[in-house]
Amino acid sequence: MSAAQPALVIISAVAADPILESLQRRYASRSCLLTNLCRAQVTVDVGNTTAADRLLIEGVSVDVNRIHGIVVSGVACQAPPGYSGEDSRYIELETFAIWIALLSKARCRVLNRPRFGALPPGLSPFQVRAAARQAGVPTVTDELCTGADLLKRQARGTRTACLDLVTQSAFWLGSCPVFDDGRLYSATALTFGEPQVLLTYVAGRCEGYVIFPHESHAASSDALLPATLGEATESAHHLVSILGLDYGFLSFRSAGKRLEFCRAYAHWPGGTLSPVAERTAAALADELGRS
Amino acid sequence: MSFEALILGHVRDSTIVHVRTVAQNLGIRVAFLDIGEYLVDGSIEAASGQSIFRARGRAWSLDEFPCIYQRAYAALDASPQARSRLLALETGLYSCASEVINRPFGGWQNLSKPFQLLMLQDRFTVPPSRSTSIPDDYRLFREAMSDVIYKSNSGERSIVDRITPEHDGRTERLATCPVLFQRQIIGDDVRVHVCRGEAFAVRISSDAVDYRYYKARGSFAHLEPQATLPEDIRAGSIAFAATCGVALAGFDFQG
Repeated sequence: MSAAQPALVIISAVAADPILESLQRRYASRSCLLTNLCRAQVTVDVGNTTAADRLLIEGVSVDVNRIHGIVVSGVACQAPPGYSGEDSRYIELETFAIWIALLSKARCRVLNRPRFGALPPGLSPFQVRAAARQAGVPTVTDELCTGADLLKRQARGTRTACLDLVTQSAFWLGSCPVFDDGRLYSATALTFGEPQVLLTYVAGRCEGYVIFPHESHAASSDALLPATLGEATESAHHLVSILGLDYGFLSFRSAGKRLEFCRAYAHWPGGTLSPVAERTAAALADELGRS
Repeated sequence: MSFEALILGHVRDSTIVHVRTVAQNLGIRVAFLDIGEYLVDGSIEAASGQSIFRARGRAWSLDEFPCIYQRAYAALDASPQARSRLLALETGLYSCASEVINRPFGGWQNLSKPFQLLMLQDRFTVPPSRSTSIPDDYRLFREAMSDVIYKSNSGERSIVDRITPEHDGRTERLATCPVLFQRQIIGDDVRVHVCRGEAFAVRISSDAVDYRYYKARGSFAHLEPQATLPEDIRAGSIAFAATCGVALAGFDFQG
């Protein structure tokens, strides 16, 4: 991170994202990546127009009014060590609350700004799928299971996409430990090895790819039938308006003759993917340049 | 027996206790489901387009109730199983066909008080407020304002109180956890509740900064229903609740 006033602030839940890395290269030392909101200090004023909102990141004071753009690509908010579970949770809620205000108020272009009329930021993939179903978007089914249920499925050799409702971490059954401590998981119909259609979305522009999530590589959009891309794009536009997203990734699976929505990501869900990363980063930079 | 409404909450939650009592006195046929029991070993099942609530060996279809009043929450130190069940319940309530007061995700703006203030400042006068985790910025705000109160930024309930010199020793703790500070407004509280597009106001006189806690931090709180409200307050409250997509909302005014 630069010690000077950054032009671009990137907030991301993951430290290594090829798209954000590419975007950072374009801004060189004028960018700053924040992977844990609790590591920055914040001031936001309301009802007092003379004050300047600011950030303090690793001792560097950042004038929010002089930031050129902010990209929110997932949010991680983890309290520093040494606090009880209850205190940590409180610190995280308070920190998240102040950031919602800061991102909402910032004058610069904020990609994925919290929006009053949209669903709340930070919903789990399980909740996003419920919202998609409510909105009439064909969506992969979710089944709530205990750890014991999942272990039985695993013993049968089933390898479906699951979600830990506590940690919000997604995993393929069989690839990660399952906690049989009474917590609930979501098990979807999406199976390991099944290709997915992935749409990148940047401020109204969509590009589609076929991906094989476990192999971390993608084919080009040429592999998609125009009808498939059109169907996915229509669902994507509907979903991003509900979720209030300017930037994200939406995955779909093919279920017979129709596509089913699987998941919205705020960060690149695959591994290294240079052509896609470069094109998406260019679209992001272009969008930030419009402000 | 068919029920007119379902009350879903914690059995000892004072608001739930009050609502159940009022419903009983009015002769409304209500069912009550204890979220505390559900959070231990319950589940939500989506079957045939319905949300089925299971707890302690019993099952209820949430969709069969014309109306659900819910106060679903878990303690900050809730166990992983309770937290996962709360998320599942919120999602079930979000998806069910019944009228839910309030449906989860509606009114999410309550997650951030400074965000709410930003949204409300076009409709109402809001006091100068600073939300900060920077001790020096807090000190500047305090110097600029004569009397300052503090409260949580998030939707977590906190006791509002006045800043006194006794707080000075805690200023550096802000660096870990932000706090919302506001210039104190002197005067009675006026609580406005909006319910299904109607506004109901009550004026509260108290010697406590936070009238809700007058027993511990004051000596009295007198509540007086208000027959009328200034039109801008009435209309603004109703419009804001509608924009948030909630049937029931509370607004605190002072002056």
